[in-house]
Amino acid sequence: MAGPMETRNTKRDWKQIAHGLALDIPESDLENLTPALNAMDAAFAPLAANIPHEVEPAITFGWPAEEGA
Amino acid sequence: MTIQEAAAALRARTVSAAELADAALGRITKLQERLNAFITVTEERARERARQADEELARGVDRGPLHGIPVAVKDVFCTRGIRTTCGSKLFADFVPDRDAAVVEKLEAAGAVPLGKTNMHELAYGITSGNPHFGAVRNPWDTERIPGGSSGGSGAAVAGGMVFAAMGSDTGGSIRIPASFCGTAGLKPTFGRVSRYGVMPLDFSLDHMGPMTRSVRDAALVLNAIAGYDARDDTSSRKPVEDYLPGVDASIRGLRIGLPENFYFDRLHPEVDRAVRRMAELAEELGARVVPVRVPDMAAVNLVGRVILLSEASALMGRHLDRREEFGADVLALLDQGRLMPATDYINAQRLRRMMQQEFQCVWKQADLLLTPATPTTAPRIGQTTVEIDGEMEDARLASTRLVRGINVLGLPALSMPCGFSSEGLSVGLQIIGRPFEEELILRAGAALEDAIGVRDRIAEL
Repeated sequence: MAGPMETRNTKRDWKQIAHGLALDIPESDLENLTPALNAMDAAFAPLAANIPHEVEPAITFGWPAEEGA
Repeated sequence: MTIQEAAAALRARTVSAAELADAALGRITKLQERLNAFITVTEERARERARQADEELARGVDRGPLHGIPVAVKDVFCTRGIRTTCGSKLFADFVPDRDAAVVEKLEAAGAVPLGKTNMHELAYGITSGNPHFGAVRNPWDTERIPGGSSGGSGAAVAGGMVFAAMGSDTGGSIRIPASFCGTAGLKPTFGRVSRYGVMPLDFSLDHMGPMTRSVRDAALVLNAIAGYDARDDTSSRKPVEDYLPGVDASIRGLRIGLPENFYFDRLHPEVDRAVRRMAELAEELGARVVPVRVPDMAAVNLVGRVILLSEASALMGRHLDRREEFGADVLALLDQGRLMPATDYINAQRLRRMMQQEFQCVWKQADLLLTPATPTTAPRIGQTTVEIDGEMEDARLASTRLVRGINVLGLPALSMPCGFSSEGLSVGLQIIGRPFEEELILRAGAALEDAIGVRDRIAEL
């Protein structure tokens, strides 16, 4: 089953994200990171928007009692 | 001299393990200032181990092909009682109380560890220009990078200091230095070699493997280090094989896939020519070279970057209040990872599952893939961009472009030298196979290596 496409027309505000997460990243460092983060976000968002609902992550969790069984 | 040749000489008593260790330590002493391949050299311990190896052989105790062979391990492998820095100031004084599984296995196989090799800080980069322990230099041209992050291991092997050195590979960190230094470098299937006791960069992309002077030597090391380890949750229970190709290694009848898309886009012309020549050679040796289309590997790389940024920052985040103790490039990557939303990470892992399934179509068309390992030869130290086809590309992204996706897919892949450029720099060929088909990859690599005769090439220094 294909999921509804999530679309986002605005760029993420990395400064606000850093502030919201209380990350101590100096403003000048954040500015230097922004082009790389924007480029990655722009390329990744369309991929993520088209994942069918039923697809689960490649990493899964096991119950300790069953691991190594 | 390869491991196979040294092992034969040891058993013929034409050389002793002590003499091999002495020669290797002498080479390290001679070249350390120029190449900076080591962070720690364990001379006394090495001499003692070599003496024990000789004594055992004299008693008829033979631990196999690595018995008495000088080796080194990247400084991410924990070594009991020996400082293990991970190339970082954070761990400059860390002395583990246990050995990594790989170190245990190498020692059980009788290898003689000479020390810990230099690397890119935290294994998070491809230059090995370490800000705390100094830049590693490429033995073929000391003004160039050896690649990374296992750059010290590549330089130590190509510089003739050790017969084999262990590396780790999260996004190409064995295959990139193998390509730039002209060594064999094997990234086994995820789960084939234990990660226990290795300082992690990442949870789901880290792989451990050997760098050696020949493909067969890589197989000998894999024979010693492969296998299930209950201490590593991702370790595979699949039985190990004998990975050593025979003297008559053949690829007759194999379907060797030559990708039509992605892998031959934007290459240095000399790399393109050398790798295509290997495909022709494979055909001459009886393989059937078939054109194949691979899934969107740029997307696979992107997924790999999101996963690595997120996992590495989750691991290292608690140290980021000590910003001054990180190199600028590593700090920037760790900051980027801290800004990645959890939803992106989860979606990257979902995409990864889809991509792993999608890639299986490749194996209906071919038994192996032949590709370049890196699009260029080794860049100069300090060079941040490379020019390919008249366009500038970030040197880190270019160097990882052809290797990173294979970590996302967890597939085994070998980088081996397939020639030298007009500037005398090595060109790396990558052979990629199905999960757990290391034997086939190594057999194909050995057959090609036999045909071109590029093995055991030590840089004149």
